[in-house]
Amino acid sequence: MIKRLFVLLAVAGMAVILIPFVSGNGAGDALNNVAATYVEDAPRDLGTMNIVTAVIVTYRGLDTLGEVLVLFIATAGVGFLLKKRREGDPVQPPSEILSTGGMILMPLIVLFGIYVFSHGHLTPGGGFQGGVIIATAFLLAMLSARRLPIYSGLLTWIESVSGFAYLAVGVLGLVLAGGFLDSRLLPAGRYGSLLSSGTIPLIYTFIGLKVGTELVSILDKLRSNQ
Amino acid sequence: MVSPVYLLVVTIAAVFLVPLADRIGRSYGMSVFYAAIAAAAGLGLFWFLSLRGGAPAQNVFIAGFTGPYAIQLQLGIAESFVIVLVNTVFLLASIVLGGALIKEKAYALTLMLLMLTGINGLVLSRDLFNMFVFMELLSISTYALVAMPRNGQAFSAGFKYMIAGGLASTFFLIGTAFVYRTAGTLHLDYLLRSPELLHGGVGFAALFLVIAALLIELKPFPANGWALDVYQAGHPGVVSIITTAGTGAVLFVLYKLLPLMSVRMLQVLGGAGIVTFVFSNLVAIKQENPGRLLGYSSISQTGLVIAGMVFLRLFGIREIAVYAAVAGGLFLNHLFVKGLMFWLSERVGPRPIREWGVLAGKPLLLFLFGLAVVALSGLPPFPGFWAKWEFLKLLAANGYYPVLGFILAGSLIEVFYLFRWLGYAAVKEDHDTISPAPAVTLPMVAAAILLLAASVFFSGSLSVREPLLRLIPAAGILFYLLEPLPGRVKTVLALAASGSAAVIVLPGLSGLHLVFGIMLLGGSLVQMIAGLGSGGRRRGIYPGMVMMVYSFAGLLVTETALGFFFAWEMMTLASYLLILRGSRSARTPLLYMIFSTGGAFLILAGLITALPAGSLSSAGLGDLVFSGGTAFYLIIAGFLVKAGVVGVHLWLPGFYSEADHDVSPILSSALSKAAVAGLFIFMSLANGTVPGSDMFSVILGWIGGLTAFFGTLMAIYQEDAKRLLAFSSMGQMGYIILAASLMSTIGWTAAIYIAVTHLLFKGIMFLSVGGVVSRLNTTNMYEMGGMIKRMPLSFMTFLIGLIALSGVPPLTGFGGKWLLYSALVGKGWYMLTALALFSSAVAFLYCYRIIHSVFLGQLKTGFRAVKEASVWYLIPQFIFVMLIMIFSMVPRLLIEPISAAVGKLAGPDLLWQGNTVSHALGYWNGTTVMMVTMGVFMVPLVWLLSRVRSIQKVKQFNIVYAAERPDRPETTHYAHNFFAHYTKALGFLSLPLVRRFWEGAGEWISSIAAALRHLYSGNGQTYALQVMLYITVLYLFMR
Amino acid sequence: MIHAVTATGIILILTGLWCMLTRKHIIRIIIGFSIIDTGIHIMIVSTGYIRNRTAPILDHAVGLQGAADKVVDPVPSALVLTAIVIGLAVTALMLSYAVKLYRRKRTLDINNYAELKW
Repeated sequence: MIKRLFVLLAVAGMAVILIPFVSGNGAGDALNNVAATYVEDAPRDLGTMNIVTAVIVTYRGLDTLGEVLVLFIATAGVGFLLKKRREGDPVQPPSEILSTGGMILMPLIVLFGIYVFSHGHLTPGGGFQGGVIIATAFLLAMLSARRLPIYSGLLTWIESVSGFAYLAVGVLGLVLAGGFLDSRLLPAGRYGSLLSSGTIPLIYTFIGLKVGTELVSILDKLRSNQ
Repeated sequence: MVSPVYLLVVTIAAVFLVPLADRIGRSYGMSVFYAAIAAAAGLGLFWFLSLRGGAPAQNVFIAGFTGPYAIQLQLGIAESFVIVLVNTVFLLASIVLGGALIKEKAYALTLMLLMLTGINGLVLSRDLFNMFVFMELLSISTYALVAMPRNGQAFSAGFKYMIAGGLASTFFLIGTAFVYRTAGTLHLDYLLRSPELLHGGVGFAALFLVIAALLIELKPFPANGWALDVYQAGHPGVVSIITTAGTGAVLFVLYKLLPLMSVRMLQVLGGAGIVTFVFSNLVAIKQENPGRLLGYSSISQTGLVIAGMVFLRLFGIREIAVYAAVAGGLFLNHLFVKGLMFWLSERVGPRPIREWGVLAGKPLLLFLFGLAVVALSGLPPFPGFWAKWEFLKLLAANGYYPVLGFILAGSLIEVFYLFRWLGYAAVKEDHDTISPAPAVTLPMVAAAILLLAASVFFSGSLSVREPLLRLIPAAGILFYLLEPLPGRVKTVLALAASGSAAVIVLPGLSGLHLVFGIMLLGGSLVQMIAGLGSGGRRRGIYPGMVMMVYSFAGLLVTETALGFFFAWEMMTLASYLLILRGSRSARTPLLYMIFSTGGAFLILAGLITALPAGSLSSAGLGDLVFSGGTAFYLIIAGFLVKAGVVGVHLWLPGFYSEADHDVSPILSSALSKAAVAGLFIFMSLANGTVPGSDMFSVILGWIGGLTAFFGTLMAIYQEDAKRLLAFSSMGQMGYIILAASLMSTIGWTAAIYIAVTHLLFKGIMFLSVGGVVSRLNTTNMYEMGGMIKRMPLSFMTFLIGLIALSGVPPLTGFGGKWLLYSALVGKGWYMLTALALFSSAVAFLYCYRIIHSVFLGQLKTGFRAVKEASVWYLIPQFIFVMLIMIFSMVPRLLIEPISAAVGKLAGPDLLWQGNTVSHALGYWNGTTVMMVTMGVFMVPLVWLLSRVRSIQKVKQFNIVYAAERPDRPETTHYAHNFFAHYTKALGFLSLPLVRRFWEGAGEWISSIAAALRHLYSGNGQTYALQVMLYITVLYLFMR
Repeated sequence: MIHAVTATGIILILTGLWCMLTRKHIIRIIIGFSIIDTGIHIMIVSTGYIRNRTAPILDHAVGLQGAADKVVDPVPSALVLTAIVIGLAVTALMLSYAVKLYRRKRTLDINNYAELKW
């Protein structure tokens, strides 16, 4: 009971600390200098329609590299903690309808994922979102297929190579363009076309592949560890 | 220069390459792993050296945009300093972890590299959100690596860590988002342009959450239970990284954010640091598990570093050099020491600290452990010492005396548990062995070497320029390296080293310094000759001995306050090593260390309080300002603790009696004079400038008188010959202090005269008894007896020492007493005169007892064949006997230089007419007294010799016990419990009240610690609750 | 409007904290964390909002001219993406720990994992 009281006290304390954010977060009426500059300059300098993508991949590119690494930690951490076990037979095999439907949907979902990460500079979406969509396709397959062999060696390979390629593009930016992770390594191209915005689509492709494979391998490890 | 981006690129590239290389083969993966870390450390070193060489700081913008629009990495001198340190220690820790990593899959290597990436990114980045990302890299990889031992404890510790860490991330993230909302930028340099935006309303709440999150990551007391579990359960290699490199990176982030904070925030944050420092140390005293103990210690050190940089900021200091000297020094010290200690705990394995005696048979490991303990305790010559001095000095200069007091109190507790641990490791022999593991030992040696190198670096930058001071630790290390040589060779080398120090130092001294120089250096040198009398390796004696003699020289030579304190602490350390070597129990060295450190802290507090305003570290002793009084009284109190006056004498009997038989004389006769030297040096520095001197003088006089009385009284009840002499030394110190308190020419002359004669006769007596004891292998007086027959020379010297001690004519002791009583009566202190006279009378009792029980009486059967003591023990005794004889014949030889050195003080001077010295109350001619006494002695002697034929020899054992054999045979020996009858009269005075007081204080502290420990319930949810409540309280304080 | 979104975020955070501090089941504690994460994400997104403006994607509907007056702040959207990914990584690791803990003691009651203390 005493503990409940303390919990109440702690949550109330947090509320006291957080309340100012409600009252102090009145809707602003203009973008601040940094945001306005991004909105105005990104189309010209980088050629992106999606300003969020410009921020993610270029202006705050180091955050994104870090983010990719954090996901890498998740895979490595799960792999480190959970040793792979021999896969047992599912308790109840999936029904014919489920497995067939899953098999039909899976390539479509993958295709959609590829669309999302390759159009990240034009439309909402990007490497992370695309990667997650691809992973959901595999999740569906894991749930529905009778047997789904996952080649963890291949996954590692795609993961590492695409990660390394991302880093290499970043370093090339440092050597050949303005700085580390500078997407102006390639020309900005025609505004609004698929092959534009410098190296952003390239980077998002690597990220999409990497995120997709990483999530798949996390799912695989958690699955085979029941 | 190389762009700082490459520091990140190197490890990130390795992150992606390791899994690929590992597919080819284990060793390829490991090679990539080590190559990347080594490259990072190398880059750090390269940058640090170039930036120190004057290269400009580097600012790199990601993606080529400038200003607030892109993330900026900064590499200045401060960043490079942290980077070289954390990467180096990370490399060493990875080597320690090598054995464990090779058994894991490549994932472990990747996680380690990601951890390092996070650490380096945190140091370089100038963007708030970017720091968050790197902090998550560091935290999440750590969460996973904590599980490395793969046992239940590690898993539950890891999960608790995730809960607390998750909360910290939550706060950081909300805070960062709203910092952006308020200030419109995340770039630190642009935030710094208008920090006031973050001092009120939403801005404050946002900044508060960021700071609170950082503080939680730094494990403040008491919201840190999860961290302790991690320290206890994690692999020591991983944990060492968390507490050194990981903590270092977060500390550096806090350093970067300091300019954003308001004064109120800084004050509360500094307070949180101090609370953490004091209470973590307090809780640590009840801890038996080495990992957890190191955890408490790490947390306390982190708290101190936080306090260090926060208070510096609060004092408005902007120079990076000062932050480097204080926070940098403390951190560097912590970094290498904690690395070393955690790795050592990996070597020792899962043993509670009481069983660390396994190290006793391993000289290298024990040396490394000792080095770590000494460095962590803030003793010289290690960086922690210099940093603490600078920090405390700034606190005193800004009037933060309570903080100063808390830090010293916390440090004292720290000294207690660390040296207790060292005692377990050094004294208790354990026959278990630990197998060799070079992969762990080599990094430890490397850390030790780096720590020593850093010590040289720091001591240089803080202007202890007197070369002799630097020789003190160097001499210790040199003699440690010479340890494999035979004992006698080392004695000769030590004599040569000490002798040359004396030859170099003494001609440069004058006045009181010269008198004490001759006493300390000459006295030690002569008595060191006795070392030749013992065979064998004699491990562990000479490093301490030579360091001690060099510290004596340093104390007298140095002209700066810092130099004096440095030499003083080195002397404490050296003498600790000597008693640690000789003592049979762990208790005596520990007691000595606690009281000595306590005394040293009083001196330290006094010195920094007396430093003139705005002074550099090199402030001279002559510049000290004592007009406030407090500083002076603190310093004197410190010397009194070291002198072992009544009330704080608990350490004294063991310390003077338990060392090796050739070392005890030096400790008891020479080292004890170091406190006297300090007393006189500072009393003459402050003479006339201290307010309230009269009261001081009376109090000091009574302290001296009571010490003389109680020391003497306790001496008469001892069964152990060396302990008896030890208490006798305490009594003599009392006389010296009493005489010194008079503050007059005659009083000071008397004090120093007694000091010199005490040195001589106590040296003789200790050496003589040492010679006897080394033959008989017992120190119990009732087991001895009749040694006059077997050791006539020892008896003769002892008798002369005894007569000198007792203060009867014609030997030197009389002169001391005569001067003392004259001065006391002259001052009008009749009560104290009576007390001193009474004590002298009591002293006869123990004098009689020891000579009777040891040398007279019956020779025991077992000791019929013992030989005279070694000639090497006798030589120093005879040198001292000769000196006593000369000074007795011609007292002027001794008294005149002393009174010249004392100079003109209050009261009448001594007047000389030939060999007659006189003053207002009377006169004394030592030469005539000697002649008359010899005459009085010779007449009966001649008469007795003429009657020699009628002596009847009494055979031994012509007494018979009837039928009964007593249970404890010694109780029937009349030398046992010799003065039982006096117990009835005076016994109540010798009840162990003082001991009970200190033990009570100890138990009280220990029960507080025990109660506080229960905060750490082990429940992950409770820990999370504590974190939240802590943040709430912090908010209420900071608002 | 915007106050309400921020307030929703805070209510979610407090709910998550309550859940985390009172539930004994480790999986529920992890769920508590996810709720907190969601709350944070909502709060972050709310900081960039400007009334009557659209997403910062400059397609033909928005146009390049005067775009800065038509769109909301893109930075919080970028930040929240990173936050989501980090939350995912933490959740994955927590679940892995839960698996390991369960396998040791066959229980997920957090009170059973307090063997280290003091």
